[in-house]
Amino acid sequence: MKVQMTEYLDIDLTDESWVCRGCGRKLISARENYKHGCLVYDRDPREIHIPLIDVWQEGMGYAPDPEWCRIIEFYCPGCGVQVEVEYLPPGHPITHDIEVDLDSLRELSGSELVNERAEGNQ
Amino acid sequence: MPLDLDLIKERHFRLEPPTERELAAAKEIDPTDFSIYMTKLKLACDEAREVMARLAISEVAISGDSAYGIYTANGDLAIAEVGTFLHVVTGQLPIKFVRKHYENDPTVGVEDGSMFFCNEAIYGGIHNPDQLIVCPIYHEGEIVAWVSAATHEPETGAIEPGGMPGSATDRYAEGLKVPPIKIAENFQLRRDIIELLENNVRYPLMISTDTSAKATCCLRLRDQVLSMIEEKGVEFFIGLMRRIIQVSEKAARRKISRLPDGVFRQTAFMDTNGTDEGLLRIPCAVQKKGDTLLVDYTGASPQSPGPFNAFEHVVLAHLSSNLFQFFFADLPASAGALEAIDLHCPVGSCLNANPEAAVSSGVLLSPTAVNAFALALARAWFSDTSSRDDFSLPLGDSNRGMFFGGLNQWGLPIVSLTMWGPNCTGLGARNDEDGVDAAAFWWMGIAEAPDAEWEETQYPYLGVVRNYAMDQGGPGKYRGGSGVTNFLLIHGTNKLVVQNYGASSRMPTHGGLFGGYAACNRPIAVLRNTSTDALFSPDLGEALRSGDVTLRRVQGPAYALYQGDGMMLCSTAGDGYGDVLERDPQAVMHDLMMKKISERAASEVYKVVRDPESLTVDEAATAALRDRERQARLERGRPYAEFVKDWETQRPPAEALRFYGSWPAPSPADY
Repeated sequence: MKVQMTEYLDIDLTDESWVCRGCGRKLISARENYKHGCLVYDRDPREIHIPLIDVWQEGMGYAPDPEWCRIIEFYCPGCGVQVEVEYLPPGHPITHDIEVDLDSLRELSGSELVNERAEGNQ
Repeated sequence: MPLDLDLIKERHFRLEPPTERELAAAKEIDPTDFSIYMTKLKLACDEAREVMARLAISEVAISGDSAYGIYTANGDLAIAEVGTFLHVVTGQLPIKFVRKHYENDPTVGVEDGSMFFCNEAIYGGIHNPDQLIVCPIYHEGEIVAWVSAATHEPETGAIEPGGMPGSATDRYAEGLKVPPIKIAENFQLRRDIIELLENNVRYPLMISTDTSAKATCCLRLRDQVLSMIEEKGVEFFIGLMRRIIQVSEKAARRKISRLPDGVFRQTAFMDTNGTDEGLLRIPCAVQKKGDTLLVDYTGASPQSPGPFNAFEHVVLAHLSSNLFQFFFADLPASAGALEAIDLHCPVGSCLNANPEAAVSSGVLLSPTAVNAFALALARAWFSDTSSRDDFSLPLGDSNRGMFFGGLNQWGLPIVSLTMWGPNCTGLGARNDEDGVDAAAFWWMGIAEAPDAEWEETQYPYLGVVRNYAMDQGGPGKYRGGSGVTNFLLIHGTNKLVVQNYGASSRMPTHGGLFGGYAACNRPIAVLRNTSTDALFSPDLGEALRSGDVTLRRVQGPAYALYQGDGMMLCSTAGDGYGDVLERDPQAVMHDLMMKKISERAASEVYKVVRDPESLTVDEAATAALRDRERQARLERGRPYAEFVKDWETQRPPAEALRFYGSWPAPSPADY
């Protein structure tokens, strides 16, 4: 049984893996941080946050300061969908954002709640 | 008497033990009566908000940013209606303080007709501009309930006008801080106490008028409660309040139980401590187990020598504001629901500061801490399809606005703030639609923008432009709601002292969700010699390019604006949801036509190919361009282990870490 955990990722409870909902690629064990199974890119935030005007004074402008802030993008290695992003100061550790208790999820799988989840997943 | 820290350390907002009388009365409440009379109490709270908007003179209260609560005899919040929920939650503290310290003290005492004023953050004021009155309700000689009324007053006699002084480094720079004090006897406000309040602030008329308005709201609530008691009996009313608390707690625990167990995290950052630039780390781990959430901020930056500090109970009050607007939106706003929430803010961190600390901008730090909670919770909540209809990213949290003081165009002394910034904050995207543009106040979902003409008759500026700013909502499959850009032209005064507040001059507080990007940060722009024609252009960049621009960080010390100067202030926007390459190209074109995104964003971020003449999408070319971008991601993306090996050798510049604590994760040694 698959349970949708994010917009782009399921957890497959049968083999306990993170799975891309778009291409079906198995990223990594669901007991690990799914980001470990992604491709990762460090982006200059000015490429996404288009400055309203090209004024840059004392490190401030209409976009994040790339020396203080980077956008870390995580891609599915199968289809390239952008699974998640983080805004971090350079070098800050990546966040393990979903550490779900699989035994709890499995226990819920027989409940009305997860049946609703499964319907939503179809 | 030293500050009674036990009141917040031991109790937080935990329920007092219910009495046998309350439990017995609660059992007798008929379900239909429960629904009807709970709604009546909620409407009474909503009516009080309308009374306040008509009586008060502060722009905050007029815009509807206020809160009213009804409490049990022991001070537990039974019910509130939509409002600044954090104020009704902290409203429990002055009640519990009064019952503990004054009720049996013959020099103070509590009688029918007493009211107590408070703005001390330790005892319920959040920060000292937040001022509240609590009032006991007597029936046949005994207290059967309490009511509260609270608003933010934009002047406290601090070292800078506006009540949130950017240069405050300890509590003594922040002005008036009043513990619960008897402000009314026999239903009459005491003139000596009003004189005391007026004598401590720069705008005496505002504090006396608004304090009187709060007292009136309490009396109106009291009338409504007594009317219900007369109709249904006192046992019914006591039982109803207890039943609401019971139902609220049960429903909260049930909602939490439907989420999977686990730990869900979000890391957030502020780029100022209030007095200067520097990063504060705010990591949130939401541990869900059974029917309880533990919200843990271990690893937060230490308390810093600026006003961006908060007390732990203030963080909890802010959590309540978010919960009652989103995850608990369908529950009665009662202290019962909060029984399911445990909170840990490390002692000595910026989220659990020493009582001596400056905390007046804790209200700017706490929303970021709570948005980190909301995004962490979203990662558990999303998997529950049964409640996904309510799912939403939070309102933008790097709140920004403007305090000002001086003589207005009529030569009268004024100190105030404009609510155009904070009350027009964008809502984050949902999982199935865009966020809401200019949605609300972070603390209150139905706050209104102030009346523009009213504002311009009171204050020495003209709102020349109020428009959505381009590229401000976080990009994504669903775009975050835009904030509003205000361009204010100063006139009719030879000098206006201004202090801006907020964060994200250099760095957004956090990203969006599931691949969505953050809302864009915007510093303050002061403009001189600007072309009037350019100001009316839908392209605000044209206004900026037409004059001399000086960028100022959002949070900073006070400065002066003069006749003819302009200031451009962007309110906060919401964050995006999902991959930008999945956004409907037609939605991109709509945003483009509405000037909510730029041509560059449509091309470079959303990868939409279009005919510039007809503004129609070339669907095939767009699909091909997006496919090429996905391929490019596969080529530039690096395996995690390889990426991290290089990434973790990097470090931000030293000036960014001056208040941060130990890199990369502050620890108790930093506190």
